[in-house]
Amino acid sequence: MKLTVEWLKEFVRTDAAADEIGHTLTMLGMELERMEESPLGPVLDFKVTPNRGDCLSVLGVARELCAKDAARYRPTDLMRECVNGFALGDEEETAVGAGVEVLDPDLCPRYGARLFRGLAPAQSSERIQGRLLACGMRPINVIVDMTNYVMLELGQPLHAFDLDLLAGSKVVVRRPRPGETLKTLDGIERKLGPDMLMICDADRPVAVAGVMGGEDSEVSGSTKNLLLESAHFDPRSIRRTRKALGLSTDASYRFERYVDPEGVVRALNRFALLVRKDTGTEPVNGVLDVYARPPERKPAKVRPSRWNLVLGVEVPEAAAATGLQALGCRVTEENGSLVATPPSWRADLRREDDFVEEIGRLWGYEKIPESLPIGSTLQGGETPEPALTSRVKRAMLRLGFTEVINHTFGDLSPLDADGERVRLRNPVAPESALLRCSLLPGLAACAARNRGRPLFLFEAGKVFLNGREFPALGFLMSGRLLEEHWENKESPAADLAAAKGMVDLLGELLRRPFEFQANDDKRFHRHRQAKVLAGGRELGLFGQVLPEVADGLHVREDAMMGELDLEAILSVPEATPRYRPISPFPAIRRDMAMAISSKVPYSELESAVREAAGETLERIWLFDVYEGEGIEQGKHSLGIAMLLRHPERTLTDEEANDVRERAFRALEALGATRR
Amino acid sequence: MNQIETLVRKAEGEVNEASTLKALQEMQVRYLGRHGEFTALLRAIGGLPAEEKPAFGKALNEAKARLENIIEARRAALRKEDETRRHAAEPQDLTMPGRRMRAGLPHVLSQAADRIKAALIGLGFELIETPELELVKYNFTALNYPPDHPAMDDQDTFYVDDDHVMRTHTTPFQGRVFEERRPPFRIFTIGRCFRNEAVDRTHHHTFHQVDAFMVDEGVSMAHLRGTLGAFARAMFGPSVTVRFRPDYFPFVEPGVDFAISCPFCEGEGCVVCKRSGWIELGGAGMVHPDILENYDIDTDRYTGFAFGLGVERIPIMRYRIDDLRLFMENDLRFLEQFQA
Ligand SMILES: [Zn+2]
Repeated sequence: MKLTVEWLKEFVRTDAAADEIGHTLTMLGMELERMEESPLGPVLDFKVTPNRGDCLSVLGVARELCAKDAARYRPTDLMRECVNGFALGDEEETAVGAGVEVLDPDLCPRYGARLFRGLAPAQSSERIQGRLLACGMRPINVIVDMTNYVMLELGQPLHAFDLDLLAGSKVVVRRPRPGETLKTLDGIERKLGPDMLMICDADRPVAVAGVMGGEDSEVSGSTKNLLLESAHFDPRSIRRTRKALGLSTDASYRFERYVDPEGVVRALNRFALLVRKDTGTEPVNGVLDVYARPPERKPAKVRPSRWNLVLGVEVPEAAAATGLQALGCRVTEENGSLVATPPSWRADLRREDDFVEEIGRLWGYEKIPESLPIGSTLQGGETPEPALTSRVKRAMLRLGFTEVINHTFGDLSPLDADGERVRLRNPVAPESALLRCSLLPGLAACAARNRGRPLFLFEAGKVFLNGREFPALGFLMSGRLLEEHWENKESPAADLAAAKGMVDLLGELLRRPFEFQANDDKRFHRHRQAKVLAGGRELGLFGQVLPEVADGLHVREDAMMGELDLEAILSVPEATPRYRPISPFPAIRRDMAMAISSKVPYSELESAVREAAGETLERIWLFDVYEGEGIEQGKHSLGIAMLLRHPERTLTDEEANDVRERAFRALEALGATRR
Repeated sequence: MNQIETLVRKAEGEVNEASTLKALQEMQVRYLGRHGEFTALLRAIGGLPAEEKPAFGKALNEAKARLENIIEARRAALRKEDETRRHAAEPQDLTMPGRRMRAGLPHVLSQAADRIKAALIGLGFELIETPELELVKYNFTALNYPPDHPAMDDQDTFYVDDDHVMRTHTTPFQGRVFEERRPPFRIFTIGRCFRNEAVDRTHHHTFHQVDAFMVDEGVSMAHLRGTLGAFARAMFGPSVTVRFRPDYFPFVEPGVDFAISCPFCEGEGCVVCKRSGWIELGGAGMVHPDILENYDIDTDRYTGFAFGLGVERIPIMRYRIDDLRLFMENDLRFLEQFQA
């Protein structure tokens, strides 16, 4: 909201400069956003929080300044007149010439009006126009300008009807009848909902209460007689209505944030005074005022022990009481506590702590010291789910992968998992309407964006599938395993074996040994994919994306991608390592070369060797695979190495040869022939 | 005896002729090895008269030692020759690129999140995770957002249905904690949040927040300020102080906005703090007594504080990043600028 400093100084006497006032506002909770210059001097542009509708005016800001620092900011005579309601003296009388009827007092607790006769919509004075312009409003004519002026000054929105255009010279505040419509000031014909509050004349709606006037009763060049509305509407109803209509006006903005019901007549009076000064026109004697539901303000007990505890700083009782009074509260003392009743303009002060905040705000938060909480000693840490995600991320970093973070929202992708998806009702764009069900589409997009270099990427994040939201790990491997170098031009590219090795190692790092099985996911190459399991639970999969899918996504055809369900991994118990003594005796290597049917899985060969070799087998690995010339069709030649070591003594060559012989026989039992 | 002398001389001649370390090694085995010529001579000792044996043995050992010295000297000479030759053949150019291994790189936002985690865990807070797709109940209702209240205006929400939204902040974790635990506790969470905003350099519909709160006996705003001070100093350095100004969030009372003294200019004024010396970091306050009461917590016995801040702000300030969109574009030319 924008206000000129000179306007503010009509209400408070101070020698504070504009930037000091701005700083004080900030420290009161009205953050100064910027300071502007205008022909009338500096303009303060500040934010008002939604709970403080009473600060959306010169009066409200002046009140806060005086409460914050009574020595620096003193009320002027005008401020005192304002507090006294700008009384004209005729407020007890009822104006003659029009009527007001409120049929829905819940939505309109108070409706007031004054009548003006012979007030022509001429231009307003330069002073009025200047202030409106400096505060960001466009001057139109004296009637509209004065309503805006009073709204900025007092926070009470006003609306002027052309009295001669109101059927029956009457205002009826009610909800619309079925089928009723209204053409608002912006020229749009509005459909009216049953919960909207309307200002009507004897026949039909003439304004959407608190939001916008109707075209038919608008003040025009030929207007002579006015009905000036000043009302208090239910904030929630105004908000619902303006949202339903897709309209927001300066009036609705204030009504939504609570307008002082006790200020209704004051605003009418202020308008009359300003009009009299600018045009000489006098109002019709008396007001129309239907005040069906005066607000209830309940007193609250405010204990010094409470504010000292909550604020963490001692505020003397006298200072607390003075502060609350300066904000307009009625304050008494009872058994060592204050009893505070909030003023009519503060619907936000309900319970003790609301008043505690006011006491602290005026005392100054800068006086609150820093101290660390004592009492219960607590252990900081991570609960299992985030702890596992952190650990998986660290493991992937150790494996040389770079982390990416992709969007939750997306479109359909050929890399999506099968299953039920979650769709947003109001997406930013149609192609961002689905919550991701897999991390693979995002990783593919990263690969496309960073094309032309080896990529080893991962993401750990939430995915949404089949009614579950769960953390997942996705990865992508594409290109050379080792950086290109002049001494090593032939580093292999990532392939299924590289992916398997990586996932296998990941399982080791997570202390949950993974198992691998053949898989038939339609997104991947039939023979270049695998399912990952642990403890009998399926954890995820990896493989080479189908060429047509890769091509469509601008990803290298040989890219390997995979995804694991971290919630599933968490459910697999972690193995605890058990120490084994380290043998100080030398090891002996023995190699075995054989030909065997390609159909026999390597894992069977390995377990056969392990079983046959016994306790001296320290390590076993496959060092050669060959098929082609010299090998029978359907077979391949394998080279398996064993590292043998005895825990308690030096192994002899003869013993090592014995082990190899046993292992070979076990392999022969599976159909191997020695080579 | 002459046999020994002859053998030594023959060996010496050959050793001095040896032109490679490998040849020298072979010679050493041939003469001094387990099956070498000196061992063969030693076997001849058996055929000697008893009185000659000691003298022969002694002479043989001396000869062996002499030959070993000769071999060692020759080896040293050959090594030196070798080295000289190698240096001449392999000129060294250290400016040529080395062979590099791949090092994993955490995302710049994870780096910030990790620092935050470490700081808060150090202050006794426990990290939990709650859903991104959240119930309206936790996102708004349990946090004291009145229905049809303007406080909802800065919470442009993505709806899935009437009851489910993409969380607009990380604060809904409070309600989930209150349902499962009783005070005292100190808990925090870090994660994605979503607001239906147009995307530009300074706005995004997806961003990350950290939210922390504690409830215990006697917790005050001084403890809030102390905790934020310790947190801010862990994050930004030992000279940083925290400033409060009043602000409004429906789930705290009193509510504040907290700023830190600018660590980049020590309060002198710079581009990061927009010449003010202060950087606004987030929102905070005392847990609203309405909320404590909703979960049957005695507000006279227990009080609590809560605070939250944006994760992106930290790298934005530290590295002067000027476009929020870069964080989720994953261009490696961006990410690799922030090695960790
Ligand atoms: Zn600075």
